[in-house]
Amino acid sequence: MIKAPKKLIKEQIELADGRYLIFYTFAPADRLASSRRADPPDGKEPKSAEEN
Amino acid sequence: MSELRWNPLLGEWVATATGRQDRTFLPPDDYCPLCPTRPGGFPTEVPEGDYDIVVFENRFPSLKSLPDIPVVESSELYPVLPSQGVCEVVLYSPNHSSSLALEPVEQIYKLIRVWTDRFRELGALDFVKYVFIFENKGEAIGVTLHHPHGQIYAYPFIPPRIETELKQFAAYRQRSEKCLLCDVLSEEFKARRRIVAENDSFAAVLPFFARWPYETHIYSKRHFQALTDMSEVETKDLASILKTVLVAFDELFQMSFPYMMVMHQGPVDGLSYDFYHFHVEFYPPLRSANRLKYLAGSETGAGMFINDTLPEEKASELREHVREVVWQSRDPERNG
Repeated sequence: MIKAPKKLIKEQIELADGRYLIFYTFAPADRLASSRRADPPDGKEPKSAEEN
Repeated sequence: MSELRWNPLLGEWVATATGRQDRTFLPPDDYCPLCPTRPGGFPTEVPEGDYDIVVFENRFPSLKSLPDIPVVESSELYPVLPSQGVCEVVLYSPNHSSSLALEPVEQIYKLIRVWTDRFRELGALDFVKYVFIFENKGEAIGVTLHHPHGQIYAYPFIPPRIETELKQFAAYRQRSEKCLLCDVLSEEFKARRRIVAENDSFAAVLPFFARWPYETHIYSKRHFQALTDMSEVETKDLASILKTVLVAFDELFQMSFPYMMVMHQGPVDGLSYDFYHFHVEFYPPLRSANRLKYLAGSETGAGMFINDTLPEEKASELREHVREVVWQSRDPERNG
């Protein structure tokens, strides 16, 4: 059995009509899409959901 | 326009949501709004070329965090409230032709982690009393988009079926000082005839009182109330038993099996519900490969379901399609 991915990372963006959309990604963190077209609305770095 | 209207006959809320009439209805595969936005393609709900799991606010919600002002006035007989709440869509996979049954168990594990996070976050909103995670799958259920996805409703009240269960659990606890579902599980393990599958943390059971021919419940062996109470091992075991049940469903009639899947957790209104017991319920509408179980007069008008089959026989049918779950990822490199 392989190990389950550990870290849950969420990246929230605001859509054009004001709704939110959250990308959930799992470790390894370097697989996070670095080319998001929209930055998080608050300009903060994405963070681990467990840290919220 | 949307609002909550009180039904004084049944003592329950009904939501009007007229904006949902215009929602996207079975678009061609090339124009699926839940697929990633491909380079040069039309813009979908997800402004990225790929994703793992995505959650977003439903474009056609029945509940909104900033709700509309009701179009009718409230009265003593007919109370009306703004339909305050949250409706989210959860995309399980970027692959349009996939389904939860076809996804590797690691993806289901990830999805449970996402559900847990949404339960925690939505449950912390001051206007939310109940977080309801569910999936409608298949045109037989009335889905309008085939892309693998589920939904989450954060209600401003405890919905009636959950309230009925809570009353039953509370009364049983008061009578016997025990948990109703712990005792149901104990009874099922004695009989064994209705158990479809089990692992260290969960059992899949076709209940004694099944209303649908292939209605299947997943009960946690340990007594807890919500996803947020689960250990890492239990999270993996829930992923595994979900995969087992979903694959058995698909293999039963060699088709992508339609179902409603709902998660019953404790309310998030700040009160203690330690007498309640977490479980997942599946309601598949098929009674055979090409026949639907309809909710007709007795079911809809009187609330009494008539099941044309015996749960013990249907559990045996499903058991024949239980396969060992091999832990696999969508990432081939992780599968070794």
